[in-house]
Amino acid sequence: MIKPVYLDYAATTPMDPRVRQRMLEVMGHQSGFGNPASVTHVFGRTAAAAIEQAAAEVAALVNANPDYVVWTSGATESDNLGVIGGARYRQAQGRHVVTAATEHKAVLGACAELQRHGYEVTYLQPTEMGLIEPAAVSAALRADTVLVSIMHANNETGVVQDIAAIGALCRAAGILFHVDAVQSAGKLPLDMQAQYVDLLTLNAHKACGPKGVGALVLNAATVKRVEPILFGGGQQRGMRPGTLPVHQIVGMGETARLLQLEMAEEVQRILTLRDNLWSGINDLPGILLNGHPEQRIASILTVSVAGVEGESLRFAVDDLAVTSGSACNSATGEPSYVLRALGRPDVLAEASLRFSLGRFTQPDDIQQAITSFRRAVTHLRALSPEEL
Amino acid sequence: MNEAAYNALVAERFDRAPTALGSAVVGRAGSPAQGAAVYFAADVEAGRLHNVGFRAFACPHIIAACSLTAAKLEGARPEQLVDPTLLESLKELEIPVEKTGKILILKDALSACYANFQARQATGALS
Repeated sequence: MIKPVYLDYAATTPMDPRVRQRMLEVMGHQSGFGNPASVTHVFGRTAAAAIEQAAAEVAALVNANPDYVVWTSGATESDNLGVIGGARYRQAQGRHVVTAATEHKAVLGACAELQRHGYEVTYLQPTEMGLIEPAAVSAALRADTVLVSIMHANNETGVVQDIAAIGALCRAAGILFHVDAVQSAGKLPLDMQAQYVDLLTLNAHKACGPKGVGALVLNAATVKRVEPILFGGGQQRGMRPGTLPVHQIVGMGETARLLQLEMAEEVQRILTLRDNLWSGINDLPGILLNGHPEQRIASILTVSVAGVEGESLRFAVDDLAVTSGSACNSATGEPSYVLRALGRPDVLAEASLRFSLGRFTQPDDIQQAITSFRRAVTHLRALSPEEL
Repeated sequence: MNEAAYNALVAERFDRAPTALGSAVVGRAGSPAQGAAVYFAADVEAGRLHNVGFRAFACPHIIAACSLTAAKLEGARPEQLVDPTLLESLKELEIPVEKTGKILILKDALSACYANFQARQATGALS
């Protein structure tokens, strides 16, 4: 059997050994196992210090105040806390939220929850290139709008939104701006001040860190807190109670440190691999790039294939760990709602593959992907009655 | 898609590209918008089907089903295109029940193929 190639970094990533090592260092009996809230003894203080260092590393990646890093269980919780907690924090000013139809389901689900509690939500439609135009955001703002949530880079297409422009609009109107930056962290520069971001969602496992940890970063200059969505002890100023998982947070801190240290070189390397992949398949007829050709992150290439059936396409490339749309959507078997929003008909949305590359992707992996993809498409086209 | 969702016979049949494709009698059913399109064709010699082949825009299960069916029909009498027992062997493919509708598209293509045989025979186009 051919060794499978992992090209699903947008779903999750293998952990960097350096991150694993840092995590192990705080899992010993004499290191970081203490409860960071137990500052009355050295074990707790050691853990608290490790948390502080991790917060500094995460904050440095996005130009934020480390005191305003709220640790969560991952991006879904961060998105929920940012959208629901942010909107509820501002509910005295109104109950209207603006987001995009192409957001991650963690944001869409949070918006649906707000709607169940009397909020109104405007879902912006993207252009056929996947862009959310700042003018469309501006047109959707109302006197009672309290929060706008637009992701930085889309998890299915990699399309990058102009968050600085959208953020400026929100700032001028006094509206909270939440950004899910899970796919863009470490791939694009993030600066919460320059990009006018008030609430930022991050996680670790999309960037070669551990699963089960994320953060909602607040812009200390513009928002002091959000309403909690979990209740219990008073940890993290009551915004997100619960004992902090020190080893995971330390892992996320190290993940952020490595991203900042290696971003420029890593992005260029991945971009070259992605472009090689695209040039190796795009001469086949009927290969359609999904999303904007330039305004996208280096790590994602999503294509639709005309004239072949989606399930057979995925089966025919079973030596490649790729998905059709997002991993979350692959689980349901439904065609991607993101690709549908871009105007792709169901047949093309179904016959799509997302290749997502990362830190450990090698040139040989890309060559295998090209070979496998070409063989699959050629085989299925030969079988197609449309070719007769 | 989960590889475990398909058994070994599906994988084997899926990978086996059709070689022969007759042209004397043909039948088509379904469309990409319906989730599957199937085309069957064969030659008829001495009252028997030969070069039975297919083309399919379909999931791996249905492609494998077409492949098995085409193999089974090689050398068969044209009436067997609509033999109710013809598709019984597809049980080996363990096709999920939710794909029953796509099996009906395969069945419709075979029926169309037989109807084409009858029409051509009536006009004397077939020996």
